[in-house]
Amino acid sequence: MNSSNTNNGQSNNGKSSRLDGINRDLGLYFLELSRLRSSAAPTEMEEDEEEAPKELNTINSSGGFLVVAPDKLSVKYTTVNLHGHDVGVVQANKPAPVKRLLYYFEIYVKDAGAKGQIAIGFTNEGFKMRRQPGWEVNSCGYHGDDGLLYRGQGKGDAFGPTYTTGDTVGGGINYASQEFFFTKNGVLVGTVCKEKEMKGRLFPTIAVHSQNEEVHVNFGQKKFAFDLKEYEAQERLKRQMTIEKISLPPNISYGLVRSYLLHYGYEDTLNSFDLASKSTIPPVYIAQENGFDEQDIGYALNQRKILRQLIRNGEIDAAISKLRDWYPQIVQVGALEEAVKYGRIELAKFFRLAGFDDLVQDCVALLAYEHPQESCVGYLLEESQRDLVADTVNAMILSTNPNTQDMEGCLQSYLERLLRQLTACCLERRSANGEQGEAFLLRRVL
Amino acid sequence: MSLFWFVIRQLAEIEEQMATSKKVITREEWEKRLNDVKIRKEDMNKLVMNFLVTEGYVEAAEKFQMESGTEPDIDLATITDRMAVKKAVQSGNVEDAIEKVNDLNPEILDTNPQLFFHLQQQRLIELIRNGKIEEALEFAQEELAPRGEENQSFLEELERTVSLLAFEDVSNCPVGELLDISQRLKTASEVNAAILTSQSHEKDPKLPSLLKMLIWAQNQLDEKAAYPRINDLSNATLEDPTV
Repeated sequence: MNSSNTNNGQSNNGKSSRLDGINRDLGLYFLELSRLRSSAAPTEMEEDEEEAPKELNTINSSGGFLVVAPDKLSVKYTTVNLHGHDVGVVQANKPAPVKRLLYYFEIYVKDAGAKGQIAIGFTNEGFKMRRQPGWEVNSCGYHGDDGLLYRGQGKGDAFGPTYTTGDTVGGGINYASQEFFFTKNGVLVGTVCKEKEMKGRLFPTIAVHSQNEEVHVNFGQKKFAFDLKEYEAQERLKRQMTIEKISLPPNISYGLVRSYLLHYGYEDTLNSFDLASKSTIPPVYIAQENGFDEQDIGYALNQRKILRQLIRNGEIDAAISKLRDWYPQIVQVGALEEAVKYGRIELAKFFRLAGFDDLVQDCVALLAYEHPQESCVGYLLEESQRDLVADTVNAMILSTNPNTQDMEGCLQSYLERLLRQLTACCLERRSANGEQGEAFLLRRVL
Repeated sequence: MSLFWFVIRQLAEIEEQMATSKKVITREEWEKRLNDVKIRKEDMNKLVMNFLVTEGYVEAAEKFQMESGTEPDIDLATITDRMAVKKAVQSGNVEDAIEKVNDLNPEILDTNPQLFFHLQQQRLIELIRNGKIEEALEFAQEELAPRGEENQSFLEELERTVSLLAFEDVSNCPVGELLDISQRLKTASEVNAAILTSQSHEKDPKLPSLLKMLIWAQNQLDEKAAYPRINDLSNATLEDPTV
């Protein structure tokens, strides 16, 4: 729907000629947006759907040199190693999931064998399965025999302690800071920067290289030795502290709460809020001087409040009758058939969504019926839907304000716009990072 | 020859632009993404309720509960008590405030020596402000000096406060800020936070953190892309990308 150049609710994109003077198209538009708003966000679902490694990949391992147990959670080096190209390497069955803050897994060294040449790390898909992780490009590995960290070349960097039989060693990726981190027996050993070459899907990888070495792997099916939750909390706290240092314009929160209350017509709350703000020490001045333009959203405040109350209480008859008195252009009795037809054809085309037309059709019908409760669309009057209907009616009234500049502004408070911007920025940033990291979810904050 | 150098410079500039070129997202594309975001009304209501409750707007929180059906995340009765304490400190009635805090929960001051010291310090400041010099000195000696002995920073604070008495013209002295209303507000804020914490509630509302997160997220994204920004938080208007 074009948001510019609207005049008292009529869009100028050709559709309005059929409706002349009736705001049905607005009603349908707002209802659809409201309905979309109340459904689950796609990002919430995708984070549950991303698959995580559960076991070792027996197809892709260097089969000749090692044996993977039937449960696919442990390996043993079978022969005597002779050179640097007979390492027994195995990756997890899936790459590390990326749409989260951290990924982590652990190994338990059951037997360090003859030389304790065990490694834990991450490798990419095309890794040469006869070399220690870290000895080739696009891989990294923390080696037990020398305690060095190898990152794509034969020479390693000093990193941490060696490890041997009985030790539990963990390896992880921190997507927020773009680092690898490793632990030994529940203690963090260190972190290294995840170089740019190591983008793309990374597989948790373990390797054994001398006779009788045996390693068990834990992809989360058992409790970790390392307190991952605590580490995650600390990392979040670090970022939170950076963010807290940012300064805000004075009284911005007060102003946004106030315009939220104004927008949705919560008049009683607003009055209490204003009264209390005046007597705080120091008093909060949040009118024009802070850039809040009240004129437009203070429009029809009392009427919107009354209608919201009636709808929330289920007094639909009273609500419709008041709406007809005050805003006849919004409600049209008896135009049911045309409204339904319009809804189905026009908006289905416009929004290209399947299955929405029922709700839209019903909402329109609700406004058009003489006795809505008795109609087949009475379900809309159930409590859970009432807020949706109230918000929609609220938006429609706001749109009748001659000063209104854009239709979507009638549906979204400033607060909502800011939250959308925040979500979109985080998503775009994640996308620029190769889809790694968490998305912003308001529910998580709450 | 100069034409040659001109071309070289042009090439160097182009190369620099290409190296730092950012992805450009048009307004239309960005608005589409904004529309795809799902923000639930219930969550926004919770955010607003959290603000009202943490900042202590009791009546407004009650009204909001009625008008929106949002449940407050804390017992509203406890807010009234907390606000009474805050107001007492803000008005300079520190003794009254201390009594109220102890009525509310005696453990708060017991487990918060720094808070208790600051409240006592405020009492001293008020005595000095009201010209009750003898009483002030007695109070400092009996109540505050023992605290100062236990703790170096308390001692320093105590010395600063007592030094108010040495100056004829307090408005011009180096520690004059102690007499300012901002000092009362600082102490009031500290007591408010301690009460909230004792009630297992976060001491700060979530809304300002989200606003800061927005500023941070935009700054971070600036490094990777040119896109419509919101520069004025108070009216949430998008500004076209400058490219």
